[in-house]
Amino acid sequence: MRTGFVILAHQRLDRAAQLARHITGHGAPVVVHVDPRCREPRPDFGGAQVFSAHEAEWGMMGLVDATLDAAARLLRDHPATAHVMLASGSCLPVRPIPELEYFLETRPGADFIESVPVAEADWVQGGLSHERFSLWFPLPWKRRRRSFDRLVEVQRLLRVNRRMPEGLAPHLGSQWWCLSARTLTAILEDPRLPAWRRYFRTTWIPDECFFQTLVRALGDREALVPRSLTLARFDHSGQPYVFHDDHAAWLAGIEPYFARKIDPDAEGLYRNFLVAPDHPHVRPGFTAEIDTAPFDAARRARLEEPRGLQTQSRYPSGSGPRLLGTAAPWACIAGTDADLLAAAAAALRDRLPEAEAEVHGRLFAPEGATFADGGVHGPGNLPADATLRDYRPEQFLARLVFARQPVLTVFTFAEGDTPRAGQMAARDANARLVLLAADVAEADRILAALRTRDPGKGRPPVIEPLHATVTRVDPDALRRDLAAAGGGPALDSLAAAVTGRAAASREARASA
Amino acid sequence: MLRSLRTAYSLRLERRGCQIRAAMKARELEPVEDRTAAMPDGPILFTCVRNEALRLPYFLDYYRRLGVVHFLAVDNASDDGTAELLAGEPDVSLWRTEGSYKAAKFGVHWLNALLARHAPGRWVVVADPDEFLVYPHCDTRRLPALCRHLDAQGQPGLGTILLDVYGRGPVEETRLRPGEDPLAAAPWFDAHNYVVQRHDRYHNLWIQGGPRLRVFFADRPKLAPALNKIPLVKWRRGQVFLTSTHNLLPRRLNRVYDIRGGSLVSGVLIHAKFVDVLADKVAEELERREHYADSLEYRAYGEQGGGTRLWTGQSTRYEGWRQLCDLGLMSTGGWL
Repeated sequence: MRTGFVILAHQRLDRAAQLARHITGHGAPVVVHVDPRCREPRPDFGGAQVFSAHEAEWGMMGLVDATLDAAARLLRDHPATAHVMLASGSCLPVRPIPELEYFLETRPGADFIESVPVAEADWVQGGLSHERFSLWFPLPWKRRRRSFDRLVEVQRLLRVNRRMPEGLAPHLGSQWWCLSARTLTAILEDPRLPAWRRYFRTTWIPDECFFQTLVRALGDREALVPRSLTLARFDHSGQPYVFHDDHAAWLAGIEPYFARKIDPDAEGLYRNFLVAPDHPHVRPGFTAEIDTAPFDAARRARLEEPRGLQTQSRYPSGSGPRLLGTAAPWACIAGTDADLLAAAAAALRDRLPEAEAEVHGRLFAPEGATFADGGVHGPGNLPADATLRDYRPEQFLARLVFARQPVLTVFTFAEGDTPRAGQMAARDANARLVLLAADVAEADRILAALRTRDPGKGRPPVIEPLHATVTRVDPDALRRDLAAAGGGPALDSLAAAVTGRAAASREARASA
Repeated sequence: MLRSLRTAYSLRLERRGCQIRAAMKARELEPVEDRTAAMPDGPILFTCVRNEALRLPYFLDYYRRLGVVHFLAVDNASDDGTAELLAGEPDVSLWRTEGSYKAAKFGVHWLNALLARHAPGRWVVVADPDEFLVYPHCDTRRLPALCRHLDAQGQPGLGTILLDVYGRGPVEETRLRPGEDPLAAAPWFDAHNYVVQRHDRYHNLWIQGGPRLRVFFADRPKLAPALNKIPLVKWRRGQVFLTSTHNLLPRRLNRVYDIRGGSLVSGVLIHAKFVDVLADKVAEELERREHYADSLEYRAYGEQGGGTRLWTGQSTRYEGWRQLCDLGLMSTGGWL
């Protein structure tokens, strides 16, 4: 009993042929379907049977037709075939072929196909779900995008709701499966097959639902393993992740037997994985557990990061904290007495470990920034020079916070300092704003001054929203604590507010 | 609605104007060696040079290693053997012109003319001989892989920041030897000193900062040079570069950044300008006044006189693309 392979190829036939030759080299039967639209010269496919019948356009039924025909040829010409593995021309076996064959021999009759009921399919990345079955999709999305969308809208308006053929429950899953010859024969020989093909011809992306649905109706329930033996992951917009040479070590450690897509230039992967195994070691089980960490990180990098920066990659627009957010919490100590602010900064510098917090002086003083080390250049050469700093003070501050994280950025802010920085201290949800004020009324006055923005051109002032965590510390108490050798409660509460260790008192905020 | 129609129309007119001027300036280009008929599949590079014999060997090798299959160069009246050097390379096509660099909008019209003729349907790199493209995974993946990724993402080009690199000592003591990696002589850069805005009309990002902002333009930051560049673009008929590679028309090509709080894949264009040869350039360029904004940048550099140091104790030493990603200077944009 053998495992046969169906390979769907539509471009870079050289790579598809390399894969086919590798598999036939192990004596396994291979049928290759080449998209007739492909104009590349036909390379040598080894002993594989090659045919070209159906336009394999993305998302269209041609892919399913090609698969059905190829599987039928394989089963007809190689009656001893027990399993058929479906692969694409850009797949690679990341485990030796004999290992896969042994694995399948020990599981006769098993069907490995991802098949998720459409109702619970959070499987879909950025696309339609149950509407794949209930609406008509006669148009190719890739070429006729506008008409495609119109047609969907019109059908939604008309509340079109197609009926599934009798006995089928809609299921979705990866296009890449490995089915038993028994199940495939059941599908190919079923008298209802022509009717099913007609129905699926106008569903959306039939290659992701045709076999996935039919297996549930015709396959052996006991023998169904609803997981794919091929690793194929998609990004947030439904594009497949592509593997390159630098993924070799990671791919060598995964459980699935095949992976796609492989970049056609990934010479190292082809060299690495298309070799005869020196010792066919065999693993017992198959859980299809995938280490998703790299994919999760890629997703975050695409959708969320780097927080708090504007770069050539990102320019978050819109209102609210997103506009000029920051990467991490930071603290601003605002007050009216510049000497007290300087003394408080010095005390905090002594008290907080350098690895935890960097306490600057007045970063936004009119004569220029006072960095913690007193230098004329801050981290990453952020300039102390007032003109440069005030060119875009919000970005100056956001860059500083980003540059020093996870070390907390702390600075003092006195009257007359760059107003836009003060507004940011009120507006940014990452800001811990400490007001040195004798009473709530004074705190409110300082806060109101911070939040007031003059839009210029004679227009009335604008009050910025308040998202910062605000704490009030009594300046007289703080003065006493600074004079005392061992500090005191006011200095403690200042340090706690700055480091975010204490639940901040909301009294100033409440009254503001 | 009316306003957006008017903007669309005026942008279209502007683009047409660029195409017409490019076609007119194309007459100044005299083919020296046209090997474009034999260009293989793959990304091609366009550049405009003047007296760059020293830098070109490393430049050509660098981009060959990244997978550039052909170079199309405009030689603006070099007299240091640049033309001979380029004409002798089998993968270079060369045009020569005595025309004014400034009148050709700092070479843009010449390049637009060549792009219109040779680039449609291809990914193109447009870079000066002192600009070296770095992108995520550039140590293991060549440009064709990146271009396939951009195609799959529907991203029209690669946004980059021009990262000025410098040596530890004064600029004129930062010695650049022929064929040498400029990063060996000038490995330092500013990691965080940048500001980003968006251009209202063209929708490209406008980035300023780095050593040129802090040293030469400290008193007039608004005039500091733009660092945003889009040096890698999928070329289609009708596209034009506007000002250097800072922006293009149609303006949707400038949307190489994410606006929803995420990141699109981007790169860094290492700018190895601040080396000893600059001093000769400054003298010459001040004489010629052939550079942007009346050579303001060169004048600013000239005013500083000799001994200009860009390095500070807060400068960062270049280590590689991963470091640039960690510093937020570029993003993988989820390119796995």
